[in-house]
Amino acid sequence: MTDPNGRAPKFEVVPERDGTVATLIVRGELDIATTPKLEAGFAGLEPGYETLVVDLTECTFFASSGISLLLEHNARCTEAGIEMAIVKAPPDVQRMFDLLALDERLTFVERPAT
Amino acid sequence: MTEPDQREIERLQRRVEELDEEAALREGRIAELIAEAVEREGEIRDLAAMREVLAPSEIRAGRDLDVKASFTPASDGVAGDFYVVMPGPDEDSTVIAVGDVAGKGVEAARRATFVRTSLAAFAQYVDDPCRLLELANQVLVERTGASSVFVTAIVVVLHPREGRLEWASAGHPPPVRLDSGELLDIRPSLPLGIDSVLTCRRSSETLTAGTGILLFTDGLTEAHRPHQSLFGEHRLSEALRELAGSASDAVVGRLKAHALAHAGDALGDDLCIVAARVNVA
Repeated sequence: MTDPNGRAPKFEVVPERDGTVATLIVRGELDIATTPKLEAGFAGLEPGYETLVVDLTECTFFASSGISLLLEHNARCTEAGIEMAIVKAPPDVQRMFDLLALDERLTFVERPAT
Repeated sequence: MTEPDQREIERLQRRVEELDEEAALREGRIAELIAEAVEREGEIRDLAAMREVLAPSEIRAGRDLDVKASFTPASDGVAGDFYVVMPGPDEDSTVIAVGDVAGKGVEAARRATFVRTSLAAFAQYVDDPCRLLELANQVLVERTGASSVFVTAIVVVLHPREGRLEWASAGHPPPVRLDSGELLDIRPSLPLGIDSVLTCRRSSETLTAGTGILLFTDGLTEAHRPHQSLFGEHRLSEALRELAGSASDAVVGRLKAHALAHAGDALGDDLCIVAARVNVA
């Protein structure tokens, strides 16, 4: 997956805010090296949100270290009465979440139709 | 004593001295490494023990099985994959386990070590794959606490004489049949270490003479060049069909080569592959 100039897209975590709904858009390849960026994304969220959406639609790889982070942040959200939802990753990335039976722990949603 | 004998003895003595020197050098090097690691981590005794435990281990499979395992560490160091192949409680059964810890570093290695150690310890007494995973989970949570640094593991118990295998998975990819490339139907359970209670589901399959299975860690199916497609289950099945009838050794070797090629020779994660085939009598 490269852009029209043949460059590999870089990893980024982009925060968005709509009232009490906070969104983190995760793009590119989350591996052991880029995991701290997701951690920083969680840490940098402006408080006061009631719903947190982690959007993995454009995520091309998601390492297990990132899943540990999702589990940790999900636990913190549950404690604080915040709802956390994950917009599903592309099928070959999402497959790993299915194998981990993580739908017992995390809430996954389909990408909303635009 | 003849002169040639005398010369031979002298030669051997010199060789012994050389070997002693080499051993001393090697010990010196190990001591240096240990000192470095103490500085860096302050946990070297744990680490040395963990490396020992996680290192590729001897395969002890029943005589009716052709088993081959391969472990390739990630290009930037060991992440914590492991395997266990050993006889089950009854003489005819063989227990194979493969596991993988989330993340890297001391905490991850420690948790992988606990799981590998418990599985290897319990396998000689317990041949129910679910019970083995439950015990490993119990030990892990009791000794290190529940944590998001989870360990995925799969346990397969082969009963070649009875023509069947039983297996259970804690968040780990399912076994794949050799030759046909068919993925065994998975009923996933949570990985180990997340919760003190593990709800495990056991599956049973036929395993006739000449057939076999492949176990692996996600270093195989997730092998990829940065931002390129993953090796994936589809390519894995295809590769197994192409290797139909091959000995376990060849299957493991070829799959490792496929993964390395797909990843551009730089594996981002550990890669563990175990193939087991029932010998034709």
